[in-house]
Order: sequence, then structure tokens, then C-alpha cells
Amino acid sequence: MSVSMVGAMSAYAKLDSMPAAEAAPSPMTKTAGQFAAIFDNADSAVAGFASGAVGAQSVVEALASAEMALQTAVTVRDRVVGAYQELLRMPL
Amino acid sequence: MTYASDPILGAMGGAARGMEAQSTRLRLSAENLSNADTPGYRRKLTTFRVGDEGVSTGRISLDRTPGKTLYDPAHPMADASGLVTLSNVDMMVELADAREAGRSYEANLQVFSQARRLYDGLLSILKR
Repeated sequence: MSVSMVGAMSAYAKLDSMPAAEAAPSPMTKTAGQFAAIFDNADSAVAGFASGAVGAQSVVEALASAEMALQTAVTVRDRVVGAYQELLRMPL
Repeated sequence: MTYASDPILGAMGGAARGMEAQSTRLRLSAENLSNADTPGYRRKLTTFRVGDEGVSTGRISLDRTPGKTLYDPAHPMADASGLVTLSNVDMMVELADAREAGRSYEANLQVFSQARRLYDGLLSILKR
């Protein structure tokens, strides 16, 4: 997990906080907000380490939890897409 | 940043706080050792307290044990009776402290990497 990937992930996660989602709060948008917060945390930890404010252990912890969150999201998405494809394959 | 909701992330957070505390302890040992020959130096101590996630270090205080005195009237820091107070740093104690800090740091590192491995193993159930 490189520093540029963390920036890309936090930018992608910011897409979740769209105005349409905030108009209708649901469990999905709350989860998306928490998901975005993990990458914001990793972003700020890397920036803090570059300026010397934050120790190395906090950076490693933030990046590791961001990587784990990303892997979870990707794995869950793969399962959901796979289930949808199985549904599509059902004969009419 | 407390992720108390997920126990594995909480374990990683506790291990990271432990590593921070032990590296602070190691830094103080290094500073004490480098000033072992400084006259009038008091060794630095820190206490560990329970933080909101793992451990946190308290205020850095000075050890008030008086250092050994040496009779040397020619020393620039000698007092009226010609005694110079050396530092109260004992090299054996500092080296043992540093070694203990290193062992605790490695133990916390093991916990951290084990928590990650457990999480990866959990995710591998979903990956085909």
C-alpha cells in the first residue's frame, strides 16, 4: 500500500458523500461514511508523519487498517457481483 | 482513533499504542545512557498508564536519587568543598531497561502482525 494509493482511495471514498445520499439516510450511507473515514484517517496519518507530528506506529496502524478495509470491501463486492451473475445465468 | 467496534482492529490499535510506549521508553534509556558522564544529570523516567486504547505514557519525570560525588577541586563544577556530583545513571540499569523495552516492543509487534494474519485468514473464506 503506497502513499499515492492511499490518496487515490480517499478520493474515491469521498464520492460516497454525495448530496443525494445525505438526503435519504440509510444504513448503507452510514457504512459508506465510516468507510470514507478510515481512508481519511490514513491520509492524515501519512501527512502527519511527513511533517513529523505523528509517530511511525500510528502510520503503520492507519495504513494497515485502511488496507484491510479495502480488502474487505473488494471481497464483499466480488461476492455480491458473483451472486448477481449467478442469478443472471438462471434459465428462464 | 479508537475502532472499538471491531475486536481485531482494537487489537491492532492496542499493539500500536504499546509499541509507541516502548519506543518512548527506549528513547529515554538512550538519552540517559548518552548523558551517563554528564555531571549533575538526573536520569529521566516515565510511567505507563492505562490509556483509552492500550497503554499511554505519563509525564516524564526525573529520578531524584543523588548521584555519586567525586572530590575534584579543579573541576569547573566543583562546589565549595570541592565535590562534584556526577550523574545518577547506572549503565547496567539503563541497558537492562533498553533490552526490556526491545522485548516488549517485539511482543507488541507479534500481536500486531498476528491480528493482521487472522483478519486475512477470515477474508480468505470469502475469496475463492
